[in-house]
Amino acid sequence: MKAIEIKNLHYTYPDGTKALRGVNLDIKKGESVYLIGPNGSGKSTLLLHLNGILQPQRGTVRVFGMDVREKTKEVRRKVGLVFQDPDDQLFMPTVFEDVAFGPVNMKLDEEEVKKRVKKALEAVGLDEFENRSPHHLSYGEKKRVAIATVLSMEPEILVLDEPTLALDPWIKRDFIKFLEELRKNHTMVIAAHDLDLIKLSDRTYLLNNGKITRRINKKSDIFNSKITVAKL
Amino acid sequence: MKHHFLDQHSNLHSPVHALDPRVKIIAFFSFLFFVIFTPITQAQKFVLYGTLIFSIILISRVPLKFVLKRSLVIIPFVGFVAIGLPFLGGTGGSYNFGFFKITYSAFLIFLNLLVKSWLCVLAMITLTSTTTFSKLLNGFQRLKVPKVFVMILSFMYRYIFVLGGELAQMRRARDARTFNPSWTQSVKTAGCMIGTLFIRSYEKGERIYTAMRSRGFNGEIRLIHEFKARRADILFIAVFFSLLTLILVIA
Repeated sequence: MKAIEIKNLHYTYPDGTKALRGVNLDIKKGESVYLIGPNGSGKSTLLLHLNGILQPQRGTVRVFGMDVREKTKEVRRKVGLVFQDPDDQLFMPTVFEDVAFGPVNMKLDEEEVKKRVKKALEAVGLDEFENRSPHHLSYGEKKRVAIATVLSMEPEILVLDEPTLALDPWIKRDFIKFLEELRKNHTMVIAAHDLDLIKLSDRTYLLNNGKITRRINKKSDIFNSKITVAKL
Repeated sequence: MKHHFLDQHSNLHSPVHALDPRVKIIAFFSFLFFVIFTPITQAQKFVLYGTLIFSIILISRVPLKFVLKRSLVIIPFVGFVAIGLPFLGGTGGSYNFGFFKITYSAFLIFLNLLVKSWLCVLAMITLTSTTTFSKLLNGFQRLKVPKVFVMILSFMYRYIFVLGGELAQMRRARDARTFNPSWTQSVKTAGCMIGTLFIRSYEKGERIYTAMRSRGFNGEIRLIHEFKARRADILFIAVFFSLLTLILVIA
């Protein structure tokens, strides 16, 4: 069964901006797919469709066969979406409460929530950070905690928006290693414009002007492609 | 950036810090209640209230200098009232200060405000500097304060630092491009900055809500319980209440 199946997806924002103009994409379970594209090409809009935050205006999005419009709740349990800015993702007063937010909403019992928080924080290498406040963390730490907040929901698909943005090269190197670990037992969809992430994926596609225009096999491909920068 | 203007010293270790936040919140509000409803003419009681709060501060090991300095926030409020004092009438004789005189009852109003607000502010500083903000919020939640209020406070605490950071960045950007501004110009710039900050917070709010929905939020706030009252908590609240009652009864 396909983990994600996107067919002829269109989306236009209320102000008239055509963000997606017919996206088609199939992702198998366990696969890692990277979407690269210029600013305003529709990457973030596409990601917001994967867990039903935005609903398709035309076309369909299916996650493990479930239509996101009908089974939004189930889909959100399967898809962990990590936003670009960790300050948007971390909104509770302590790291513990933030990582616990998803599991608590899933109505798990207290023991299970604590277990999951511990496991998620261990996975990102930040155990002992439970009682810290997000505003006391460094940017790299915030990025890791942001991923922990979805890992605690134990999703099968991880969707990451710009995971390496604004990280310095040293932290970024570690972070890419960490993403490689996550890749082993998750289906992953990453959207960014960082060339170093190409090696992290099974398939890389160029998203341009609301459409997937071609497959990218090596770094130089993206500079040989025609790019239209969408008007914002 | 320093982020400690709300709950500085709240990470120290002391018997007061270790108390259950619920106990401290209850003690705080009952202290306010007792102080506010004691007539100002019974001066000895206020001395005792002061002794009580200062002994708690001493036990908590929060620097006394810090507490006293912070308690100065009441000055503008008290000062504002003091301006009006000479114009108040009243009975019971008056004090002459050259050009103006203050009646005894006006003086009592002033003293009432000064002493009570100072004691209350001291209690508040003690509460916030012995309890981290997140524990305080948790305490309010356990005490059945409506979840929406607690959630609003919690967002305020979380994002005041983010917005503060953005404001600092905007000011730096402004200063880097401003040369000898006239007064009208700087007011105009300040207005634009406030507007920008407002729009940014609004958009941030939208993104946060999206992040919350992605993690299964559907308008209902859930929590998991964390503290249990220990013997020390019960002992503290018992002793605290007996002392307050004792103060009320004597004299």
